Amino acid sequence: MPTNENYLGFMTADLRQYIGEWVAICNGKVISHNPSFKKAYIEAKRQCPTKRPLLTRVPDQDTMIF
Amino acid sequence: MNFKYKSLPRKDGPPRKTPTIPVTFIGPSDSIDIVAILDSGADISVLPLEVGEQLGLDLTKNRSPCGGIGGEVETAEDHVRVKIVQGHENYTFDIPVKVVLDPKSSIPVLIGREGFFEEFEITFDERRERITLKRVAPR
Repeated sequence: MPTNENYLGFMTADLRQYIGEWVAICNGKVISHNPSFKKAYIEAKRQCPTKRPLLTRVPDQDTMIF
Repeated sequence: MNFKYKSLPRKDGPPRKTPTIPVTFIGPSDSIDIVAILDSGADISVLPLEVGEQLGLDLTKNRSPCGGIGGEVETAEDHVRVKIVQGHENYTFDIPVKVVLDPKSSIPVLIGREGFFEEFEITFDERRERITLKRVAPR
């Protein structure tokens, strides 16, 4: 489950520099970002091997509605 | 459970206060903690291709085009286990998801109504920029 620390890190992070990218948060901080989910995820697992990163995509356009 | 809206930046224009919630998606291959957009306008939840692949979802069956404001995209439908936790509240259940098969799609993770909204009484409080999820008894 997402840790409270990572969720608080997401809620307080300034994500302006990551528009259009996936962002991974571990220990409450952004530790990797990449347009590719897999690259951001793998790098986050490499940097935080014993913890669970929290990932999100910063939208670069208005979200498609299904 | 209460979650504050998150101000998300946009490339063209001011940031938007967005209703997001932290969840864990549990698939056959992996489980991933993700912040998803709670989308009451979406009939069903949506995952980008890379997330569906990492979870190990079956992307070969139940393929169909799916339309929205952004146009029509090819999708594959499967089910994924979703876990949502806050404080002492902890809920896990399966929801259907459509995985967008276009690797160039910029769709974020959306949690739509089917399978999720019937599990909770959900309030979008725009003035307080807050989402409230109150668990209801399954039908």
